[in-house]
Amino acid sequence: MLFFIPVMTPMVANVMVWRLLFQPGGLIDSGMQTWFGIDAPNFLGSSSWAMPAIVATSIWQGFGYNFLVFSAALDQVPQSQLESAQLDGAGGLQRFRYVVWPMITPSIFFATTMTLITSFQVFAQPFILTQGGPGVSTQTIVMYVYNQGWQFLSMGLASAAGWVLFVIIMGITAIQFAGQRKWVNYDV
Amino acid sequence: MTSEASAGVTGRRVRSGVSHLLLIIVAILFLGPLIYAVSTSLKPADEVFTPAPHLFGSEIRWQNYADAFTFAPFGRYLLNSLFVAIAGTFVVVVASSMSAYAFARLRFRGREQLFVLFLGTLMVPQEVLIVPMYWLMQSLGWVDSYWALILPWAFTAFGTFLLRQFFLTVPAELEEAARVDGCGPFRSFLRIMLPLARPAIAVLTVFTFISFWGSFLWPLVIINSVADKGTVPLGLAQFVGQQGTQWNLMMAASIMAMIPTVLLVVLLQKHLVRGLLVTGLGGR
Repeated sequence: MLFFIPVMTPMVANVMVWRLLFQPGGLIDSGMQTWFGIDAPNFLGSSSWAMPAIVATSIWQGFGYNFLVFSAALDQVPQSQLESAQLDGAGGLQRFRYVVWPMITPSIFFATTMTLITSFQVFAQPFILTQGGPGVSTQTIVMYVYNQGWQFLSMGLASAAGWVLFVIIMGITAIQFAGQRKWVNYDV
Repeated sequence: MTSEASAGVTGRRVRSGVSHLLLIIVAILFLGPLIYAVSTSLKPADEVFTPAPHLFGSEIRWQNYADAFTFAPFGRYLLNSLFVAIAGTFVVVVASSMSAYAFARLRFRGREQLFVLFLGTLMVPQEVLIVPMYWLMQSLGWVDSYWALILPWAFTAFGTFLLRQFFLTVPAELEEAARVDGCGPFRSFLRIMLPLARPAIAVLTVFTFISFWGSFLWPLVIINSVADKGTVPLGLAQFVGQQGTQWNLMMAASIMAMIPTVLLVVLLQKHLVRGLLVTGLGGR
C-alpha cells in the first residue's frame, strides 16, 4: 500500500519532493557529505546528471504501479508447480527461470508496454526539476509541445510535435506487440 | 543426514535473511523521499538545509501547515481543485454510465462501429489533442475558466468502456423481467443497472478524481489567472525557481496536496486493485 502513494498523489507534489532531494544542501548532498565526506554533484544543474535525476524521479513514481502488476502476477503462479519443480531438483534460480518467468511474461509485457508509453509522455518531471535544461538536455517531446505552443506561440509546430509523439508511440507499441510472440506465453 | 538437513535450514535462513535485508533497503529507498518531505515540512525555515541530515529540527513546527495558506493563496487552490475534481468526476460518472448503458443494451444502427470508433480515441494521447482543444476553448471563450478545466476531458472512452464491460456481464433476464412489468429503459438503468454497477463506479470515481486532482499540463495552458482559478498543482509549480523558495512551507503544501487522493483510495481500497490493472494510470 505504501508503495502506491506516489501513484495516486499529484505528480507535481511528488516531483517537488525530489527537487528538494536533489538540491545542493538537500538530503542526497548532505548525506553524502556526512557519510562519505564528498560533495554531491549539482544534479539538476549538470547536463550529465539532470537526466538521471529525472529518470530516478520517474522510476520512483511508477514503481508502485508495476509493483502491483507483478505481485498480482506472482500470486497466480501455483504453489504446487513450484513444489514439484523443487522435488525434481530444480534450484531457486532454475525454478524462477523455467516455472515463474514463463508464467509472468504476459505481465512483464504489459508492464513494459505501459511504462514505455507513459515514459514518452513525461512532462511534469523536467518542467519542475530542470525546465528542460541545462540547455535542452532534458527537454522531452511534451515539453517541446508546451514550449512551442505556449511560450513561443507557434501552435502549428506544437501540434505537429504532438503527432510525431503519437506516431513514435504507435510505432514502438507495434514493434513490442510484434515481438511478444517470441517470448510471451499466454497458454500456461 | 541430520547435519545435512541442519545445513539446509541454516542456508535457507541466511537466504531469507538476505532477501529480507534487500526488501528493507528497497523500502527505505522508496519511503525515504516521503519521510524527508514530512520531516522538512515540520522544520523551521533556516534548518531545511543543514550540513548533516536530521530527521527533526530544533522544534516540530506544525505552524508551517498554517503558514502555507498565508504565504500563497493555497486555500484558494485547494478549493479550486476540489471543485474541479468533484464536478469533473460527477460529469464523467454520469456521462460514462449513460453512454455505457446505451452501448451495452440499447439497439440502434451502427452501434458496434460507433463503439469501436469511440474506443479508438483512447489511443490518441492528450498531447495530440491539446492544441486543437485549446483552440476550441478559445472559440468558445472558455480560456481561463472553470468550464475549460472540467468539460474537455470529461467525455473519455475509458469510463464508458469500463462500465460497458461491466453492464455486459449483468444477465439480460433481470431487465427483461422488469420490462414485462412495464419498466422503460431509463428506469431500468437507474433502478437495476446502476445499483449493480456500484463497484465499477467506485473504480471509475477514484481514477477520475485522481486524474483531475493531479492534472497539470492542461491547467497550465488554459489557466492564466493562477491566483484566482489555479488548481493545487499549478499553485505548487508557481513557486519553483523563484528566489528563496520556502522549502518547509513548500513541503507542507505538497503533503496537503497528497492527502485527499490518498484518503479516497484508502476509503475505497477494496474495489480498486483489479480496476487499476486494466488501465494505464501508473507511471505517468
